[in-house]
Amino acid sequence: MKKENLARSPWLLHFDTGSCNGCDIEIWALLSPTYDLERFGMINKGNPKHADILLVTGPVSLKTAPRLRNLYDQMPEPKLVVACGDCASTGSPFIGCYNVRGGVDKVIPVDVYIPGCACRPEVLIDGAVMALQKWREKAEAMDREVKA
Amino acid sequence: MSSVLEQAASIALWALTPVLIGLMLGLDRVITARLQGRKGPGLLQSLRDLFKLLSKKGSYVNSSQMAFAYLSLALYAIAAFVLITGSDVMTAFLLSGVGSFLMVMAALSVRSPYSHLGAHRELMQIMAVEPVVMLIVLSMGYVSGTFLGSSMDYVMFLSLPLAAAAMVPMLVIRLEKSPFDIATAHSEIVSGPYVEFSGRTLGITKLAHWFELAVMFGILLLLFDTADQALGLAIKTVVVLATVFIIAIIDCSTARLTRWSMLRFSLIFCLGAVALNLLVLYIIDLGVLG
Repeated sequence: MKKENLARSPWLLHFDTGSCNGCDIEIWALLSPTYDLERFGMINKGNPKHADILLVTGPVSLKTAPRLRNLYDQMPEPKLVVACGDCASTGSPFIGCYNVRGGVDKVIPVDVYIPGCACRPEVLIDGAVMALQKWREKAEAMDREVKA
Repeated sequence: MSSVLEQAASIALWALTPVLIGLMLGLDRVITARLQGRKGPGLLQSLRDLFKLLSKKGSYVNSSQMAFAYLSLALYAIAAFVLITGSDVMTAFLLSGVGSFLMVMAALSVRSPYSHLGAHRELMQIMAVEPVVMLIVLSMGYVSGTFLGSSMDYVMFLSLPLAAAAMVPMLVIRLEKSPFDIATAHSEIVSGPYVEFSGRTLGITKLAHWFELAVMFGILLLLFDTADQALGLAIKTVVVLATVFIIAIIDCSTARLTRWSMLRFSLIFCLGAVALNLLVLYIIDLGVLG
């Protein structure tokens, strides 16, 4: 019951670490009536302290890396990170650029990688549902910690 | 014996208040989604959100922020209890007012500028709402000759129609709906006074807010009290559903206004409407028209 509530009310935080805005537009499309993410109980919250899932787009530049870390640290447990698109997953095609650290997993742990340039809204929904499965596992682990 | 049963029933109703308000907010979200051409979440979504927040790990900036949030929850819950058990309506209203101020104190006790901005806007909302609701409660006292909720057992709406109408914009403000979602203004100052609350602590503030909504809706529903319990329940259900529907339509069809236009609207039109209603009643009572 408790885990069902967790999994059916994930609040999102979207952060652009240097994306071309391609993936960002697809994320905003999720909130439109066509894809309507709110039917899964997901709401876009512009505040890390209220969020459960962090959606990151774009390769992590040197300037945004500490900010990304800061946002991640402010989110309350249990939390999830979803790397949206090829750039956020691996850093391509900007790997090796003088101003880029690489993928999101170079800075914070990532739970789900979503492929695509830009990632399609359908795949984003798939990724979010996969993230929810991981969330259940995390919540169970948290429960075991509390009991131990 | 029946009074003991009635008291037990009203205490049970008070314990169920968060569930009822959660269902009402869920209905509001369903209606809003349908009006926007979306499928939207289920009826239980607001309750799920609350349970999720309460089961997360909470964090707070300092202990005074936490203390103010808990105190605010306690005062709102006591205010709802006083109102639902049919005691003094004015006491319930004043207690809920103190609860609002404590929430502002909680927002001011951290150093975030967004939290402070939200707190100041919340104060503006309190300035817009409290005088109008205060006058509505006073006029309820004038009409029925008492502030005891249990003694107000006839339809006061018939003598105070403008008071019921003025309650709708007040509920729009307290529900943080457009055009008067000044304090929590999403995409502008994120979530105003709640910006520094997180996880379980945010759940506590949400629960406090639900009890406050219970007091506001309780004052509205007192205007529709009847001696016949079953008929009264039916009327009140219809009133709540109609109010939620009207507020959803207002929310979907308007853009956010400034805090000054909120103050002007509330203190001129809403306060004026209730005062006019009271003046007409006074003239009728003087017997000038008869």
